[in-house]
Amino acid sequence: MYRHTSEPHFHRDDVDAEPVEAAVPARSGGPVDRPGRASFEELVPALDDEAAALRRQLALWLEELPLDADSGHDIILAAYEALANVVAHAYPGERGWIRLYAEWSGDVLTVVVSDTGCGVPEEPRRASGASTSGGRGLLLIDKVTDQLHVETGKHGTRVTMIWRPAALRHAPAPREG
Amino acid sequence: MTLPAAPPDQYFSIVTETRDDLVVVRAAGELDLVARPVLDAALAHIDAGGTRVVVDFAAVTFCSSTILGVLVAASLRDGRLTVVARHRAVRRPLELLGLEQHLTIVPDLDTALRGHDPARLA
Repeated sequence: MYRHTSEPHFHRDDVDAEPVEAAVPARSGGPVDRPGRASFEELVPALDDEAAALRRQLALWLEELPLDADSGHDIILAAYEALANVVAHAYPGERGWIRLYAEWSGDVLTVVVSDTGCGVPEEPRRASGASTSGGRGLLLIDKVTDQLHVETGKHGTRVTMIWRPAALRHAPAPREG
Repeated sequence: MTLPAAPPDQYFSIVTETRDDLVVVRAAGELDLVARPVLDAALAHIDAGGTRVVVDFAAVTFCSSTILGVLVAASLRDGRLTVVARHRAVRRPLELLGLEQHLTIVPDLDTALRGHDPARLA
């Protein structure tokens, strides 16, 4: 009754209405013939096993994009660090939710992880080095993203992670519909 | 009535082997928040004995920062902890977080075991 897991929302704008199977090239690591767009969205309880399952769902979704393996790994790592931060810190002593939204549009891959929890204090955002008490998640996210935006306050946090992987850059720009 | 519990996830395994004065904690699969308490328990148990420890992550396919935090904490308690890290899944977060300087990292278990060979010290 508490659990809510929607089916992954998978959406593609196929500019010339080819079958979905043909719209996205298989994972080749090389330039793609045509541009693509796809998005993925999921809302799950902020629990450790739910966050892990969501990471695996994101990995499956990414496998269908023309991404190189290293970029895919960085995206999965960063997205999971953001999910793990929500599980560990956003809802102390209470239940809450995590929303993950991922979008591929042309040469840009964006992942947004948001919650309605208590916000990120200033100190964990700086922690690093040999500290044993976590706080490395945002640092790691910062290292593996091309752009990182963290909006946080008393009513929640939104972490926006942006990549421009070379594998997607080599693809033609998407035509505006 | 109570429904039977779901079968445990098999996304990771953590096995502890004891060899004389050496303990090898061998992990495989995806190490994340779910695996953290298991790894924590495995390493806490060993530290009590004061034995030398090799943490073998050669078969780890995903490793989150919280897991590396567990390794750093264990290493601070017991400086003889050696970590086997071979693939990008473990190497990349270790390098990006600058944790290599706080841990003894080797590329394979053989190297770790040679490092523990008493004959080498003779």
